[in-house]
Amino acid sequence: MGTPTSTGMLSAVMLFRRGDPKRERFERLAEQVFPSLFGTALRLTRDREDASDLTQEAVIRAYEAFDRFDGRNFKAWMLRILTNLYINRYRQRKREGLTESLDDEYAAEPVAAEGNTPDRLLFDNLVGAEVEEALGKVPADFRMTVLLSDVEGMTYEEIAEATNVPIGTVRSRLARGRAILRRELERYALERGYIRKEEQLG
Amino acid sequence: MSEYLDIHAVADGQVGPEEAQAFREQINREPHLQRELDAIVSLKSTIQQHCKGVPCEETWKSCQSRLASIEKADRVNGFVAKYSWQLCGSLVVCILMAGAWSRMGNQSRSIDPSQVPNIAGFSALPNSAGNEYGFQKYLRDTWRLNGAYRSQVNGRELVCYDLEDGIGRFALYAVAGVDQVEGACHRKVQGMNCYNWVHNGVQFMVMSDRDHTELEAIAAKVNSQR
Repeated sequence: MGTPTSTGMLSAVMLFRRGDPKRERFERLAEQVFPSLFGTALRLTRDREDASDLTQEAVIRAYEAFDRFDGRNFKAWMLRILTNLYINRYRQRKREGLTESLDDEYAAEPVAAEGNTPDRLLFDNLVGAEVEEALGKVPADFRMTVLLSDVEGMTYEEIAEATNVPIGTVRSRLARGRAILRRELERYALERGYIRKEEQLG
Repeated sequence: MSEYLDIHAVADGQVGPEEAQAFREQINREPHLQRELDAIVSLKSTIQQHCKGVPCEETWKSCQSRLASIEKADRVNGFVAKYSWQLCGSLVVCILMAGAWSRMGNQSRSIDPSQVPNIAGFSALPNSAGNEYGFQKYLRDTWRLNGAYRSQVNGRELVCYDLEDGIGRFALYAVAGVDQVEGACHRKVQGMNCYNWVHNGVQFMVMSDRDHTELEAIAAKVNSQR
């Protein structure tokens, strides 16, 4: 055991030593989930620069709060920070005019079309850019819920925590978001001739 | 319409096994529910298939660089917080040492002769005071001591001898603990010539209307007795 002076000297040396266990641990975990974070940020903001800012801010916030991470699901924890940041900052700034009235728990509608369009015919011809574009047409709150569920594989409970809404609202947003997305995809498919009007209407 | 919400939960695997089984039975009875479930599953699969990773190496590097800066700042803050008392203590010790050093330096500095005429509060000393600086022979044989006085200048003791020889009166000042004279040895102080010198750690100043050669002769007599 060193004297107070030698301990002080040791700390002074360690002060400038490279590599902090906390940072190393955090970076190891964050690097793995970073593509998911950035992808979600990009699909939410629909702007590469905004997505970069949002992701960086989320990573910094997460690092500062890393001591409070419960050690369970790091990806869900990071996505929660990111979506909260997006809700508090970006959406307010952009004033996308989202639609609390649409959040009605019972405002569900079918995803399947009324007609007889076979889903394989509709979805198989679509390319990534068209799906991304159609996703961009879905209102932000619904889009966020669909992304967290279908792209990131989060449970309803995790989505509810991440977006600060009850599970019932998550369910209704998911149903509405998917229905809107399906309609948008069908519209793209019609425009590009993947399906015909008669097929859509049955 | 809540049955549609339940189908989403089934498609997402968010219901328990018993509940899922009940829904499956209901779906088998109602074909439109089966169609809905298929549509949801297909949509989910399409989203998963097409929403792929986006290149983000540059953003990750920026994050790493920002994390490194934060880590560095945290380390410095942590160190300062932990050792602030020691740092403050060291600073105080440095200030005290600098003060002591400065004070010690002042002790060996010579007195500026121009300060001497302005000194007030001289107190008389006995005539034997000349022994202190070792020139009693001249006090006895050559010079006459009209009076000896003591005062303080810059916190140090100054002894003044009012002396007289065949030519006339002159003043001799002595300050102990001085290594060397700063400034010129020959000065003019309030119209009088002054010769200022150090001998064996004592600064002497002799002031009179006489010229510098005569003052240097007095200095030589003082030095020869010490």
